[in-house]
Amino acid sequence: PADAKNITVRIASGHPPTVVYAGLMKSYFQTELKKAVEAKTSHKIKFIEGYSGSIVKVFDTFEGIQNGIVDVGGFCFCFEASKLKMHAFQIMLPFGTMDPVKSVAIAASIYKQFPSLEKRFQKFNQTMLARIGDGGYNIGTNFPWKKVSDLKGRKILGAGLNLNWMKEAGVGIIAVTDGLPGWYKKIQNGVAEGGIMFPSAWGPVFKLHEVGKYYTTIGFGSITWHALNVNNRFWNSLPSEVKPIFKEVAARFELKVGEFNKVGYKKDIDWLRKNITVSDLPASVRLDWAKKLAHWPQKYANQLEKEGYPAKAILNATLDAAEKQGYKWPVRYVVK
Amino acid sequence: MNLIVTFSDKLSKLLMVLAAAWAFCLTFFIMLNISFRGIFDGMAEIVTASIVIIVFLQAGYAIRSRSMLRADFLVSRFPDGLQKFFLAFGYILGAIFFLMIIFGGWDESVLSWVENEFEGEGALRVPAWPARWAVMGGSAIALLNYLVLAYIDVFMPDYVDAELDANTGSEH
Amino acid sequence: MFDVSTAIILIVSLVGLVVIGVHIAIALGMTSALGIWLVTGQDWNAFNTVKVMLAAKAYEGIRDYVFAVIPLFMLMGEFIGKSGAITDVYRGINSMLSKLPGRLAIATVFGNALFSFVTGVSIASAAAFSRIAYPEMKRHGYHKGFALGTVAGSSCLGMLIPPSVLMIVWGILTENSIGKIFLAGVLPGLLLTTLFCTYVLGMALFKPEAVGSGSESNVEAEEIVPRKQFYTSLAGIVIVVVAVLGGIWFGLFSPTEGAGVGALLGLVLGVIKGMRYKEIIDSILSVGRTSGPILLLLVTAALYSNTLAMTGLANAIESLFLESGMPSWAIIGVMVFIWFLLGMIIDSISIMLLTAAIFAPIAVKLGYDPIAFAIIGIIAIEAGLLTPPFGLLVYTVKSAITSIDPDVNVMTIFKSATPYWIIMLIGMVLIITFPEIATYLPRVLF
Ligand code: NA
Ligand code: NA
Repeated sequence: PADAKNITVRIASGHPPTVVYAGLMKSYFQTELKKAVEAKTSHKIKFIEGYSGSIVKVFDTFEGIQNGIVDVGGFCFCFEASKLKMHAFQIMLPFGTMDPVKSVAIAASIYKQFPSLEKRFQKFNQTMLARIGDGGYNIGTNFPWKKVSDLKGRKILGAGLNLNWMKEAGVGIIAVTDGLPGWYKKIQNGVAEGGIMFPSAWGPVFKLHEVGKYYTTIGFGSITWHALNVNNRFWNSLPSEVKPIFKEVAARFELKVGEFNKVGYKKDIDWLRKNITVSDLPASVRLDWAKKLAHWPQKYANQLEKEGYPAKAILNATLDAAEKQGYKWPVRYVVK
Repeated sequence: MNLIVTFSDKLSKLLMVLAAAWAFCLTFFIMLNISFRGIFDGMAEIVTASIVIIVFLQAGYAIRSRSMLRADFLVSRFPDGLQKFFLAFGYILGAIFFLMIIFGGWDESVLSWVENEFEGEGALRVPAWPARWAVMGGSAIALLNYLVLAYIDVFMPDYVDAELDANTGSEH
Repeated sequence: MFDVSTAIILIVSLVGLVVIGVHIAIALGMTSALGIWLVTGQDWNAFNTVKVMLAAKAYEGIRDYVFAVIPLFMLMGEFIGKSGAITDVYRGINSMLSKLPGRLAIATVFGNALFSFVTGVSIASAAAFSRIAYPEMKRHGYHKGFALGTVAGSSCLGMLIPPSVLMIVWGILTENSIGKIFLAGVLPGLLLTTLFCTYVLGMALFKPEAVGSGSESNVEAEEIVPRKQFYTSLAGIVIVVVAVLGGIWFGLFSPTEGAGVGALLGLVLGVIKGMRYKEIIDSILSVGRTSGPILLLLVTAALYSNTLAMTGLANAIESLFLESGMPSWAIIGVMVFIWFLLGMIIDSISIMLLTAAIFAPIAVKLGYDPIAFAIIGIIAIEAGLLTPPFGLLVYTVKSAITSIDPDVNVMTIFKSATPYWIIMLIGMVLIITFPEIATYLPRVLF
């Protein structure tokens, strides 16, 4: 037909496709979108891919979507600590569910209850298509440990807000920061002795298991703090019959990443068990740690409230939502 | 006009000196950080912000002292008038480039100040405005220096660069 | 949207701007601006996107810890250079080798290899060494062309021996470990040094008139460096380099930290060698002058490489190569040919900025080791600067000595530099054939 358009989508992520969500953007979102649009409409879809930071780096993907440099981008809220403060709400409630499917479902219900979260993206000239949940965080080390006090004085790697899980608990670790690619060398040479990381990175993807022979499943939680967003100008230029297809494929993508990470978590833990020592800490240790962090959600919420965010309501709703998903918090944080 | 040239030359040199001094100071911070790991957190964040500031403080001087890398191999064989034309053209492009940076970055720079934007989370939060404003200020000086160069190279063939001592830099 | 005409416009505009002498950084920046405008709608909104992208990259393009390596290593080189330690070593090697035929040329090879971490650009290194080494060789009756060919040839060598700004820039552009590339350069650097020296010795034995027929065997009084001074300088340089590279290789610190440590150790060496307030300030300012243009180039190179991806041009060039049906050696051959062409008009860092982002991923897809390819690329780019009839380095040497010796013909220098060029080609082919020469050390030590 005469109105058939050739739609070119510049799609990008700062992460390489070996990272689960970026890989699925390429193999699932792009493929399914093309298939659906070309089946249901007369339009054609073509992609210009910018993975591995070839158009935008991990920390400027968000701005890239805002400026129209990329049309669709996957990015982490962890690099927008100042612009998307409230969106990291799950980080502020450590020891949450380790199930990425549940994590995404909890996040989805919070976004529904608090439209300000999605609206916030409009301020940056973009619209959210999908939330992206990560695998659950644990601790890998190059020494064995049993109690929280065994970690005292150890040099532990972390990135972003999750360092507070150690700092605020008064574990007495020495925090070391570095991008994931630098971790291997740091642990190998004793500049660091461990780090907060999910199993895929500790094992097959970044091979940290070669230098850190101990992986301890403490269960800090699976965090939904990535998103797939679309630039508003690009969005508005789309033929009206294409927009719902984008939304529909994105919704499937949101669930797909969760499921993939869930299955992947089991697979990667099994892989680690075969190759190094994996210990499962008794629930008492986890409880002990959670108690030490019990004051932190309140502290952080107070700070955000001062800046005008509905932090208390969101954190409480998150605690409830997790329970509705059947999750039992080791310590039921109280945020007043 | 010559007053403007003198002023911009002095300013460019001052900024370059500041940037050089700051780069030198970084060596001491880095040494401290290596010697006492864990005590002095956030080194990476400070260095990261510093490098942007250093580049844009140096930009004006790099341009004005004619140290920007270029291929003059072919051009130098052209007749004089054509050479001048190409020179002027290149300088105007340079001015436009930095003008676009200023217009494009203005909003973010104002916001970074108004909304107290910061970079880094965890080890140290570094405010974003110093680096953003360094980009704005540095680009303004760079723009000015491209105009100065266009003026000098096209209209004042006998001008002696009094405020600049770029040539001493290459003698080791 | 990407199409062939966009690609042609971008390539023609970039090459055109470079050829008419527009600053490389501006040529990269304005071509990127044009490219972004072409693919984001070609209207007023697209112009806004261009402005914002330019501003965003100005801020983000080099907002990375690793870029601090450049001014810090340059600071280290500057302190060592200004301390006089390198001249000491150059002269010391001279007098120690007094029995060796062609000693001045051999000392030039070693001295230049040491010297060139002082500056990131081999043309600067060649210019400086033309002034240090050429007058002495001339005084000893060396064939002028042979002497200058040696200066030009050996200034390429220093870029291959770590630490080298070219290696740093390659690492940054292709996101490979700088420490690994440093390590990968060691064996090829030694290989080429050996071949260069062998060539000089061969000339001295079979064509003694090239090295002044032995008239240099009497080391003149003013050249002799007191033994203690020589060893202080040599030990100083070795300690700085070993501490920095060792620290990086054994993971004690990152390249950025290593560069910081190197700068401080260089300062200490300088003070021991008698540098005082004024010389120290001079060094710091000198780096302020020389690092700015390189860092600014990197800002626009980041913009350019993003534009390549954004317009789809990088992918298009990649598939053009990969789907051409050419065997992989021929594709590498085309790349080397392009590097040689560029070597006629621009310096090595600029060449790298224009090409590494496109070539390196192609080479990796062809199955080349990225670290070995870094070394292959650096050798080819450096050799390009020596390639007749327009190698930039040779013209640099020529203009550096014009005041001393106005009657040396450019072609004479080219002719004498050609053996070094051939040796570099041999080295490059060896690494293409046996990548282990480059990858062995990084594999064992990392
Ligand atoms: Na950002
Ligand atoms: Na070197």
